[in-house]
Formats: sequence, C-alpha cells, structure tokens
Amino acid sequence: MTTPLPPPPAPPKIPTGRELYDAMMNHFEPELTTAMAPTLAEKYKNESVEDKAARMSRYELAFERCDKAYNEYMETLDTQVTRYQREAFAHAEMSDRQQDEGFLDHLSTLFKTAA
Amino acid sequence: MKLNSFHCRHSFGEHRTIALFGNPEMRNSEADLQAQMERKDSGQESQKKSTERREKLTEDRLGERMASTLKRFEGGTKARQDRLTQVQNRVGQTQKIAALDHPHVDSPQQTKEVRYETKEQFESRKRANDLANVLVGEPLLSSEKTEVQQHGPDVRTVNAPGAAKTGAEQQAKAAPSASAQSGAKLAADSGEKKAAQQKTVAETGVPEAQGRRTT
Repeated sequence: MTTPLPPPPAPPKIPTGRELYDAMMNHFEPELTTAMAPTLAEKYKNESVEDKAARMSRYELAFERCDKAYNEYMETLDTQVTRYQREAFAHAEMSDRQQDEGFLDHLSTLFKTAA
Repeated sequence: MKLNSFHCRHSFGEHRTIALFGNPEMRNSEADLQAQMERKDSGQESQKKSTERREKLTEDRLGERMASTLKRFEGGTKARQDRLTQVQNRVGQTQKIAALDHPHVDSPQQTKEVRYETKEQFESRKRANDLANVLVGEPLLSSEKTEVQQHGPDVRTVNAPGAAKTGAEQQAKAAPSASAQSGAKLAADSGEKKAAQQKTVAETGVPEAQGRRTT
C-alpha cells in the first residue's frame, strides 16, 4: 500500500539586495533608505556643524547594525537553502521510490510465478 | 527464487537510489561542509570589510558608503539566489532522469510507445539519457546503453511502422558513399545489390538487412 507523499518543500524566499537594505535600514535609520536618502541634502541644508556630526555618528551606528543584521540574515538564508536542498532531494527520492514500488512488486510477482 | 527476488529488489533499489541521489551519508556531509565553508568565507570577508570601514563617516562619504553597502547586499542575495536556482535545477534534472530510468514501467500502452518510437523520438531520448549519464557519472540504463553502442540507433526503429522505408532509405544513402570511395566497379555492384534488395522488399515486404538485425 502506498502512502500519500507530503507536498514538496517550498523554496525560501530571497529578497533582492535593495529590498533587504531598505527593510533593514527602515528598522535602524529610516533616513538612510534608498527612497529617503536623496532628500537628505535638502532636509539638512541649514544644519549646524555639531548637529551634522551627531547625525553622522547616528548613521554610522545604523550602518554597523545593518551590517551585523545582514551577516546574521545571510547565515540564516544559507541554512534555509541547505535545508531546502536536503528536503527537496529527500522528496524527489521518496517520490521516485514510490514509483519504483509498483515495478518491484511486479518483479516479485514474476519471481514467485516462476518459482 | 525468493532469495533472488529479495536480492533483486534490494540491489535494484539501493544502487539506483545511490546512482540518482547519491549516498545519503556522503550527501549530507558534503552539504554540511559546503555550508560551513561558505559561512567561514562570509565571516572572514565581513570581518575584513568592517575593519576597513572604521574610518569616520562624513557627509561626503555617505553616498559612497550607501552604494557599497547596497552593492554588498545585492551580491550576497544574488549568490544565495543562484545557489537556490542551482539546487532547484538539480532537483528537476534528477526527477527527469528518474522518470527516464523506467519509461516502460507505467503501462502497456507506454511500452508500445517506447518500442515503436520514431527515430527522432529515439534520438531525443538518447540525448536525455546521455545527459543523465554525464550528470550521474555512470550509465543508468546499462542494458540500453550497450544496445545503443552495439547496434546503433536504428535498432529501435526496426519494428516501427514505416521502418522498412527507413531501412531502405539508409541502404540507399550508404550505397553512393561506398561507391564514391571504392570506384566505378563498387558502384555498379552496390547498384545491383540495391536493386536486389528492393526486389526482396517488394516481394516479402521486409528488407533483408532488417531481417538479419531482428533475429
């Protein structure tokens, strides 16, 4: 008796670099997203030197955090792809084995008949 | 006989699975090693880049910093996407190979279709099979491969409808090339032979050469 196969594993969704950058930077420093960055010069044109220095150090911290989050996300993504690889091959293997069962049963019957 | 049946089943299943999907132990350890190496590489790279980026951020360098970060993100996600695509392609190819491995199993109708396939269909299947051999590293259909090597592709079309015509055409094609190489005498001989073959075909409906092949 053949048991029904589980559905094939879904591949992990991988965003583009820009999507990933915007998603992360939106969390750490929304002003540095690709949509907001071009407006910064106009927004801070009358900014004092002290304020600018503070803003830059804030940005620097945001970049550092974003880099760290990116590295962690890449590790997770690697794990997801590796897991998908294993599960997809396991599913293909299981499916193939199931297809073979009929043929092997037929062979067994032939051997029994010959005996 | 029961022992044979068991042995056949066990051996067939195991060898075929390993040929198609690889040894499970080796496969897992290989994947682990690859993932580990990639993690190590990316860790070293990010560490190197973060030390390079210690310089203080200024307004002038803000655009440059954003561009380099975006570029790195694009590269990283593209590499993962490529790897994922590669995995999906490999799974798809393996499934195709697995399906090719036993095309005659499913139904008697399919058996008939495979046996009476046209030359084009046979060529297409042979190409796919060759690809399978290259991918897997050893012939999946050892008996079929031997047959192809020994007799050539026309063996499969011998019993196909219209095979007599194909066989006669092949003979007709072969004759002029032989005569071109061997001279006028051979040309005359082959002409006579061809005429005799055509006569045989007309009388019996089966070309002489094919009769030999099928027996």
